[in-house]
Amino acid sequence: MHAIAALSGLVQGYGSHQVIAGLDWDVPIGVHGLLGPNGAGKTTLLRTLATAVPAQGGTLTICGREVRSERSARSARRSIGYLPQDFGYYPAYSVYDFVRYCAWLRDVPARAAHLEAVRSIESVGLGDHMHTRMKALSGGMLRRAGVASAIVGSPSLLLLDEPTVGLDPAQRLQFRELIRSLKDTAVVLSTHLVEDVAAVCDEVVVMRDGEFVFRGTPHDLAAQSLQTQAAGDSPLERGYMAALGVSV
Amino acid sequence: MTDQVAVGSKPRWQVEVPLLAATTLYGLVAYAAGTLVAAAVTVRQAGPGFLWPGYLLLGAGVVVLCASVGHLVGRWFPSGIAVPVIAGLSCFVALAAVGGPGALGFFVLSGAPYITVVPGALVARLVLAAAVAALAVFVPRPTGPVFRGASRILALCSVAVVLLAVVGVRAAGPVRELRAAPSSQLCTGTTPKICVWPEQRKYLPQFEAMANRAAALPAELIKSPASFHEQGLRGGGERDGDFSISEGSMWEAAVGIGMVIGNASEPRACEGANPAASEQRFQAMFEIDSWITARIAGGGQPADRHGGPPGVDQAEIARLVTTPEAHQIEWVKQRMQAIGDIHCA
Repeated sequence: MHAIAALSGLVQGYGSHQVIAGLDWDVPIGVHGLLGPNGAGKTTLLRTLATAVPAQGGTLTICGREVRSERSARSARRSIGYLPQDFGYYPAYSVYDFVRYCAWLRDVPARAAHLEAVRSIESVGLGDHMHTRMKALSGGMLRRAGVASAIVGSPSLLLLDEPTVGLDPAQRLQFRELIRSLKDTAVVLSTHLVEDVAAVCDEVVVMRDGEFVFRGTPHDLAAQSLQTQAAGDSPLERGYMAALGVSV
Repeated sequence: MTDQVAVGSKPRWQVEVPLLAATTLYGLVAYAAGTLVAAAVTVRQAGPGFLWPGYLLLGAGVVVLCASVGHLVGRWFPSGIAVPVIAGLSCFVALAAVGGPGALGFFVLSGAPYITVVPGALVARLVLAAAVAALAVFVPRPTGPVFRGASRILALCSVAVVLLAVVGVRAAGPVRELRAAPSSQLCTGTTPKICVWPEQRKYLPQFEAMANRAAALPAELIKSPASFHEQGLRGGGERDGDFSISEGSMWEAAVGIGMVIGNASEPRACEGANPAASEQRFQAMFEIDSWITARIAGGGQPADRHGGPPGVDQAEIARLVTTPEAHQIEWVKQRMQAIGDIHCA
């Protein structure tokens, strides 16, 4: 399947500290879950895919174009929606202002930006809070506003870092519906919640120490548990622990 | 919104421009409001041309400069309040250190009528403000841009432009120069007459009262010149014997006029035969000058004014001018006598 994003021999790190060493990954249309313990390199990988940090080595290709310079990165960013784990916002902005501003940052055409912002906000269930100031939102609503800012402009590559943190069960269900409804989009979902992965992901990738230790479907991951005595309350949790090599 | 901005498709400078513009707008709106209020309360009494665009432009340039410095430096601080605080503090320090008329010449937001803003020097300072604004826009934030290249070149170019602009400011010279004397002066219809620049028209009623009080000084002791002139009216900038209206203070004008009257009335100033004699002589002269000043000002030294001739008790002078005329004449005579009794060396 055609890859929206592709990594080849990716080397990434901060200064002399190497976080990712030689990673290859094709990200086609679909939902890709990124699992792994803290410090595994998930956020670094997402930031690299988002072009927020340049790769130290290897190549990154977005929508068929290699990202090598600020110009090519800017071009690629028109196709990328990114929700950082701790995303920033101007507290005095309304939800609409915030999403509209993010649309502007992503070069969504001015004529379409208004409708795109409204559509994004409504799709995360914040239509009634369009003009509520960001500082007045609850944690869950804030997270949903962040998701709205990431999906505005219908990006081809959507990168979500812990998007369901702070959401209540009903909101998480709504979020999953939203992710399922995204067509022609490659979604990379970094999370600690294996239930989210099971519910929406076509592919799941488990990272540890900057390497992929598992790639497959959620069903494949759950099947891992059959081969070991890993800890966990569900087959997927046990499969995840097995992939990490953690046994009872 | 560091990461969202970092992964935006917009060139970084396009993101920075509206942010800097917003900060600058706050400063310019406050400046414009202050200027409008000042103009509104002054316009009815002020003379023609009382509001000089040169100073307004220079002030606006300082606002842009300060906002740009705040925008530039504030990016290294996570707090949103950092930009205005740094803008205010850094400009206060920078203007106090190098902004005076003798250095970069930004710290001159107003001036006496006898000096005027030099257009070339003003333009040089506005160019510097614009260059610093460009620097604030093009210098990358600590987190970006992600890929170096054109952005680094732009940042280096903007640094170079700022340096050139500083050189331009120094080359353009002082921002103010002496103004040519006006073809016609604005004078009181009194004897003695007091003449001021047309821009000072609103002070004429106070100078008429001052002239009348000067005329009422005891003629047997005090000799008043026929006219007094504000600094620069007779050309050549500051001139001994001409008064100035510092920050609208009539007291400062009275001090200048009082000294002229004192010099005309007292025996010639000279050193006494010994230090003690000199001190006595000058003490008496200072006291008479202070008395004349208080008389023509219509009262003693205002509470918001400090300093004055050394050794003179201004509170005592203020009490003196409220005593009967005969008592004041006697007091002046004693000092005139004291001056006369001390022979010059």
